[in-house]
Amino acid sequence: MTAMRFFCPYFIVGILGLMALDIVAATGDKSCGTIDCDLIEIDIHDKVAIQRGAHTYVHYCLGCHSLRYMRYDDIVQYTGIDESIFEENLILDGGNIGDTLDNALDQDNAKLWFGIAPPDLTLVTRDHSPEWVYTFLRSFYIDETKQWKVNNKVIPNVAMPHVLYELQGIQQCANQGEGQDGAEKNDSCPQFTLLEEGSLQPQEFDATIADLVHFLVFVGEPYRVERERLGIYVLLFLSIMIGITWLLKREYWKDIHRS
Amino acid sequence: MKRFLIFLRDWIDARLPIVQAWDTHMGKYYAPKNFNFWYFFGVFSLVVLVIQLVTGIWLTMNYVPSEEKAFASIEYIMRDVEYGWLLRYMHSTGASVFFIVVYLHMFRGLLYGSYQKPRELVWIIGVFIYLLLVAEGFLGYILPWGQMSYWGAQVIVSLFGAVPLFGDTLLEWVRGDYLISGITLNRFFALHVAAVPLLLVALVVLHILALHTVGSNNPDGIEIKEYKDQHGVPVDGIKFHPYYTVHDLFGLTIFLFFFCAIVFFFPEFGGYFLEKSNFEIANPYKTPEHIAPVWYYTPYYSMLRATTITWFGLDAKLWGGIVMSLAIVLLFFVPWLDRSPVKSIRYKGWASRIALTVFVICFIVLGYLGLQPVTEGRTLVSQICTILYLAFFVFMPLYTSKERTKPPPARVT
Amino acid sequence: MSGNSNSTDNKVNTIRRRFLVASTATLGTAGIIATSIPFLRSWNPNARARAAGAPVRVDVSKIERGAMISVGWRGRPVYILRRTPDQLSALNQLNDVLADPESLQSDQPEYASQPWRSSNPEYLIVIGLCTHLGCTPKLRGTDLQISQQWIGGFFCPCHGSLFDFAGRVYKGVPAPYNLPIPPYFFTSPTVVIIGEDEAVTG
Repeated sequence: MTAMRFFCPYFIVGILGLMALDIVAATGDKSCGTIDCDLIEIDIHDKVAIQRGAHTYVHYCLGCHSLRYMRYDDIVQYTGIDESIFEENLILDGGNIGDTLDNALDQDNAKLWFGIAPPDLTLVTRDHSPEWVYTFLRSFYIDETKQWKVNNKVIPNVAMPHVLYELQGIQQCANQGEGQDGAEKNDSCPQFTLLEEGSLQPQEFDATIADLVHFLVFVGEPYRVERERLGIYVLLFLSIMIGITWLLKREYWKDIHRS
Repeated sequence: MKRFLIFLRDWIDARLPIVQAWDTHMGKYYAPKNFNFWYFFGVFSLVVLVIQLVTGIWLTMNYVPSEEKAFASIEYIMRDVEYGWLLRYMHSTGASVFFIVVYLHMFRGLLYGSYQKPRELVWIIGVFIYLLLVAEGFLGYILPWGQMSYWGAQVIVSLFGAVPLFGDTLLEWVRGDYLISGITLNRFFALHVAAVPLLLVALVVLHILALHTVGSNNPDGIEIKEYKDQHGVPVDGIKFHPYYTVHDLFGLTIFLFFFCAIVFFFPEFGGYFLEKSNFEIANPYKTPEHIAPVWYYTPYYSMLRATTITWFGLDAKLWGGIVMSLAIVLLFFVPWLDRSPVKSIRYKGWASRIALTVFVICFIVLGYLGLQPVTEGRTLVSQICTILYLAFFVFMPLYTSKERTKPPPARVT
Repeated sequence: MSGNSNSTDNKVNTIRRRFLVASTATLGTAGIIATSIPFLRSWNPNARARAAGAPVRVDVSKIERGAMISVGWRGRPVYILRRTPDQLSALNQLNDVLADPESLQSDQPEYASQPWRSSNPEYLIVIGLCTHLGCTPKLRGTDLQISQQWIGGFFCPCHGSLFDFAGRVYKGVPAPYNLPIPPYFFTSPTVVIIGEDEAVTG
C-alpha cells in the first residue's frame, strides 16, 4: 500500500511529462495560418478601447460582416457611452438601440462577389482567438495575382479585400520574388515593408486594430465582466460555507472519534 | 405549529411510509465509518445530476431545436435572456464535471472491489447509468449546432453504417435523413431532454435502493454487518444521518467551490469544456481542420482510431466499433472476472495493483491522444494502450486468483 | 459510538451543535434563495422582447383628417385617429349616453384624461382592443344604424360594443371600460413616439 502511494505520483508526473513532450514534439503547426500569432494583451475593462473599436467596426466592417447576436444596447450599457451620441455616430442604418448589429448584405450576391459570404463575426474571437484576429488584420500584403490584389499570411488566398488599406497603406513582402508560386512566396516572406503609406503611422494602425480586437472580444461575450464580478461573491460565500460545514462536521464526528 | 407538523407527518405516514423510508435510507442506514476521499464522488454525481436537470429544464425554455435557429438560440440564451449565460455555463460545465466525478466514482469501485458479491447489481446498474450518461452527453452535444456538434455527430453516427448487411439502412434510420440535419437534431433533442433523463433518474433510484439493501462497501473491503452489537447495529457502522450528511455537506461545499470557480471564471476550460470550433455554426460543407470529440469520450475515440485490423474480411471501422463497445461492455462482467478472495486493493497482491495502475494510465493516455491529431507514433501508443486496457479485463481472472493476497482485518481500520 | 457515554469529556456540546446547525441551515437557505434568483429572473421579458416592445416612432403628418392608421406596439394594435373639428366638438354632447365620460375607470396617462383623451386634441391615440373580450373595433361613421345616439366612432364587430371618437364606451354595451391609451409623446408636431412617456430632462 505504501509503495503504491509512493509510486503513484511519479507515474502521474511521468505521464504528464510525456504528454508535454508529445505536444512540443508534434507542434509543427503555426498558430496563425502560415505564421505564428502576434501577441496582444486584452483588457476587457478598457471601455474606451472598446468604444474606439466599435467605431472602427461599424464604419469599416459592419457593411459586410454582421454581428447578428449582438445588440447595440449592450454596447451602450457596458461602455457607458451617451445614448444619443451613440445613436448618431454608430447606428448608421437608422435602426433602433435594441436592434442587433445586422447588415443588409444579400448573402447570395455576396457569394458571387467574394466567392464566399462574409461570415458573421460575433464569436470570431471565441472561435479563433483575439491574437488570431489581431494578426490576420495586420497581415495583408500586395499580391497582384489575386482578385483583390492582396493576399494574407494568416488565411492564404483570402477572399477578403484589404478594407483597412487607407489606414494602413499597402504592405509587401520584404524579399518578394524569390519564390515561384503563392505558397513558396508565403514561406519566403518573413517580414513586410510598407510600399505605400496610409493615413496612420504603423504604431497607430496597430493600436487601432488592437482596439478593434478589444471590441470583438467584448462582443464575443458581453456578460463576461458581470460573470466575473458575480463569481467573486459566489466564491466568497462558498468559502464561508466551507468553514461552517467543516466546523459542523467536526463537531458531529466527535461522537465517532470518542467511541 | 410543531403539533401540526407532527400531525401532518403521521397523517402522511399512515398512507405513505415516509418515516420508514427516512430510517432505511438516512436515519438508520449504517455506513462504514472509514469512508475516505473517494467516497465523496457518489454524492457529487447526484448533485451534478440535479444541477443538470434543473438548468436543462431552464435552457429548454429558450432553446429552439431547429437547424435554422438552434445556434442562434444558444447565443440568444447567452445574451438576451437574463442570466441565461449562467444557466448555460452551469449546464456545459456540469456535463464535463459529471464525467469527472463519475469516472472517479467508478475508479473507487475498481479500487476497493465495490462490485464484488453482494454488490454485483449495484455495479451493473451503475454501468448502465454510465452508458446512459454517455448517450445523454452525445445527444446533448449536438444541440448547440456548432461545427463540433455537427461533425462529432457525423463521425459517431456513421459508426452505425459499419454494421454488416443493413448498416446503411440503419444509418439513414438513425439520422432520418441522408446527412445529419435538423431532423436528426429534433429527435436527439427529444431523447436528450425527455427520454434519457427519465431513464437516468429511474436507474439512479435503483442504484441507491440496491446499495442500501446490501450496504456500502469501504476502503478495507470487509463487511461491517458481520460484527453487530446487541441492538443489531454494525459496530463499525455509523448513521448516515447526521454523520455522513454533515460529512458530505462539507465535501459538497468544497466541490461547489471548484464547480463555481469553473462556471464563473473558466467556463470554456481552455477549450476542453466548450470547444473553440463549436463557436462556429454547423456547416455541412466544411469539416473543421481537426475534429476531436469532447474530452470525456476521447479514450474510446482513440481506440476507434487505433483499430486498423481487418480480420475475417470485416473492415477496420467495424472492428473499431467493436473494440469501443467492448471497452464499456467488459465493465459489466467485472464482478465475475475478479476472482480475488479479497475486495480492496489494500489487501490484493502486486499483480492487481500494477494492472489497475496500468489500466488507469492507459485510460488517461488514450484520452489525451484522442484530443491530438494522429501521427504514426501516437497511433502505435494508442494501439498498445488499447490492448493493455482490454488486457486488464481479459486477464483479470488470472492475475486476481494467482497472486498472493494479504489477509484483510476483521474490523475496519 | 453510543458506548461509553458516561465519562465527562464525552458530553455532547449541545449549544455549539445547535448553533452550527442553525448557521449552516441559515446560510444554506440564503444560498439556495440566491441561486434561485437567476432562474426566476430568466423569466423576465428579455432583451429581444424588450427590443420588440421598444417604443414606436410614427410620422402622423400623412394621415388625412378623419382617417385612422393602426400601428403595432408590443403585439397590440395602436390606433391613431386624426380627428376633424366636427368629431371633436361632438365629443361634448355625449355625456348622457356614455358609461364613463370623465374616464375615471379607464386606463390612460395623466396627459390624456380630458374628455378628448389626448395631449394633442387633433390626434387620438388608443389601443385598438375592445375592453370586453379583446376584438379590434372598427372606425365607423353614421352609416352604421345601431342606435339613436350613435354619431360615429369605434364599433366592435364581435359583440357590438360602441365607443366614441375619444374611445369612450357607450352605456348598455358589453364592454366595461373606455379604450386604454398607451404612453406617448410628440417629439415634433408631426412625429409621435408610442410606448414611452416624455423623458423628464433637467
